[in-house]
Amino acid sequence: MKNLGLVAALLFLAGCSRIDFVSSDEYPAIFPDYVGITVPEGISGLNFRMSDGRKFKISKEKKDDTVWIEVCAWKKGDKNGIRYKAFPIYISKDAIDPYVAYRLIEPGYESWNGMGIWQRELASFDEKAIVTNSVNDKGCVNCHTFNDKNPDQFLFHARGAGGGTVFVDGENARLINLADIGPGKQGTYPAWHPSGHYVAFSSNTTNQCFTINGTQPIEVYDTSSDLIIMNLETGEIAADPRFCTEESLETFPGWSEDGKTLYYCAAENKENIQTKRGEVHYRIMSIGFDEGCFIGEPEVVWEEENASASFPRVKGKYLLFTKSDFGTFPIWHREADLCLLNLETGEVREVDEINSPDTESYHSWSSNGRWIVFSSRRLDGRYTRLYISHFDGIGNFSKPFLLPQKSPDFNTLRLKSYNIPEFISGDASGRQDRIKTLFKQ
Amino acid sequence: MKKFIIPILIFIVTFIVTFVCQRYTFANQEALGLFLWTPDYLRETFDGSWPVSSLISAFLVQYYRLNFFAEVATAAMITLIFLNLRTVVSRFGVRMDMVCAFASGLAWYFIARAESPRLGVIIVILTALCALISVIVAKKRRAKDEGWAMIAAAALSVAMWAVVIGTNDKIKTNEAWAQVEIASTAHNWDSVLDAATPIMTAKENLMLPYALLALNGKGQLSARMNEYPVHSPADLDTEGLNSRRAYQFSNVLYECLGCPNEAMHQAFQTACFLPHTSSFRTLRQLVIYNYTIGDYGLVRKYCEILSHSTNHKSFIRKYEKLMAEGEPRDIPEENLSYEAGLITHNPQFNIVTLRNAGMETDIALDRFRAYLMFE
Repeated sequence: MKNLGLVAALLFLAGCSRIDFVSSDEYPAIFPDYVGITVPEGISGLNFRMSDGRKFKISKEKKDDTVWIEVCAWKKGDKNGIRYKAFPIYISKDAIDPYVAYRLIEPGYESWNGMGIWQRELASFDEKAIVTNSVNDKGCVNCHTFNDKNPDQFLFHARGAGGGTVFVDGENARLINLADIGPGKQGTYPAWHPSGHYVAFSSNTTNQCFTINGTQPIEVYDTSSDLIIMNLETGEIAADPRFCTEESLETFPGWSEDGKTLYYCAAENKENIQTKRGEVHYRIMSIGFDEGCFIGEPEVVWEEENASASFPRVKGKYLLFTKSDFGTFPIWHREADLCLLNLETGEVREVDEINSPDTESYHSWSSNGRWIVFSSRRLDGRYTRLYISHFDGIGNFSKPFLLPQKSPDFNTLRLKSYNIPEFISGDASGRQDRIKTLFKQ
Repeated sequence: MKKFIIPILIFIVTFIVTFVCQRYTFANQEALGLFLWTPDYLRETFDGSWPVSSLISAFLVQYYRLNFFAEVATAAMITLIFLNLRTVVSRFGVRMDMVCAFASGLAWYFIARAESPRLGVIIVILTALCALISVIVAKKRRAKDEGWAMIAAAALSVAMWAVVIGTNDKIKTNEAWAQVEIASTAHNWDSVLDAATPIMTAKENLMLPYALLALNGKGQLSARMNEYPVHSPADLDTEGLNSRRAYQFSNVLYECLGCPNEAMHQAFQTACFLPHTSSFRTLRQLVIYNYTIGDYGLVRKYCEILSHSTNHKSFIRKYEKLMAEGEPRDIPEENLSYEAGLITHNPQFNIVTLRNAGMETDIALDRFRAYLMFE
């Protein structure tokens, strides 16, 4: 009797595990879509699931610099399944900075609750806070930037009572109200000079408006914006009068790699700009820079009728920027896409291989210029997620991949957006307590 | 047998008083609560104070939508507190039911005034720990049974707290507010008016716009506005006020005015006052509003998130069915948002803007007539 029972159990189990797979010429539909992507060595696990929720198993084979993944999927309870065509994941020898820093914030409107600047280690799923707004009594913390990806030297703004700009340098941190210095302007979007001695800021008066209908619920616009330069060694702030006029809006500074050129976006200011927001088009400009001063005259680098540029970011001879139909806040623009400008030839193209029908916006280069991380709302049109793509150095990007997570569904379950992703070369956390003391003072 | 009298009495009295005096309060706690088995939610909870109690409390609150669950849970909490205290005391060979009843009643008073059952959970856990320690540390000494006089005194103590809680002004005001919030979200205008009476709105000014919106919803705003302490057009709105209830009002208002974009704006604003910057009410509203505008991608996202609570299966199934039968919206390639009307800080002007955009509702018309009455 006992033997019969054992045989029956074994037969039952054998019946359970036997699924007949039919081969398919198609790649599997998986989420996230990792089919044919290029990843750096040592990236954290690329966990995925079947897009339709079917059960699946995988087998992996590594050949040279490519990992081939075969997926067999089946519906629960079915005896038949599909063996999909093995898909490649290419392993690049190009190194990537080990961390990405970003702000996490609800994609809300005017108010907020908890927010912070976080870092994610790319070789693992480890996410740690660099600084949260518990330091400044739930005020706003924003616009972080690092000196050449250095995790020990960075700044961010802390808005709210007793706020200012926090400069972190190793174990030291200081809080400065930029409006108390020089031209008396607050800093908004920062760009750290490659030498580490200067920071360019735009100084923006930013407003929002809310649409009663249509697919874009919010438009953010500036009623004024100027450029200022802070000398970190002397603590002085200078403003060139050419970039401090009411008639013109200058914003989004970005440096060339040699620090000799400042790129920025500029547009004509308009009266009643809120109602004329569709007519505001930013072009990309450049101006020479040497020893703390602007030199030469501003030059137009890119402009296009009925289009607007944001976030000019230079690596070598390439300038990556975000293009939208109008305005200065492309994250709310579904049509916003990334464009690549060759500074030597002047050639511009929309980077179709990484753009999507939905928003692509803030982006930054890795230290070696071989990777970019950028913001996209392609998953649901509302919540910004981070994508990484490889750059071959001659103008082409690889298929972007979603920042890997322990569970693929984490991207759906997270109710916050990723904001201002920046590569950093090390761990920037561990200073929250020191920063908190600045606000108690 | 005598030892069961007081705990049973506590349970029954607590149940009755909470049922009579805090029904809407519990429903509103569910609406403002949130429990999700998601990494971010658990991390935020464990980053806060009393994380285990917060988690248990949030888990319980999910079921406060079910009839009598909250009342039973509260009655069980107070009874457990009493039993735990009695366990501690009895290890010393005494029975002090009156003192334990008084102490559990005192705990009930503070629990009834709290915004969630978390305080109750904390007290239950702490008293349970004390009871456990007392059982381990102290040898049980047989206590003499209390006489009927002491039992009566304990029962009087329970009754006293029932009266204190049943007549407490803060608890009554909270209950009125909860009724206003629940009923206005459901567009149950008669229930709003039951709670937001002219006397109550004179005391709680922020309730006045809700009452006027309820009249508005019944098409009686211009006719009956003067029954309320209305002095200016500003009384009809909460423009410029920065509080959860103010934004909640605006959320309901723009929902009634047929403007889901702005209703969503105000729902997000309201949520910013909540610990996780979201709540069950917020998530349900976002499902509804995004379904209304045809953004099925976001409906699916919020349904997926709600599926990580334990009590939203039928709500999710309903919207999955609606989406299967409905049509998602088209997204134009060109960005036409610069043509869209904008919400301003002038509520009267907003009514005109909505009308010009084709969003004409009876509520908007009645509201506009009321504004004109001030001219």
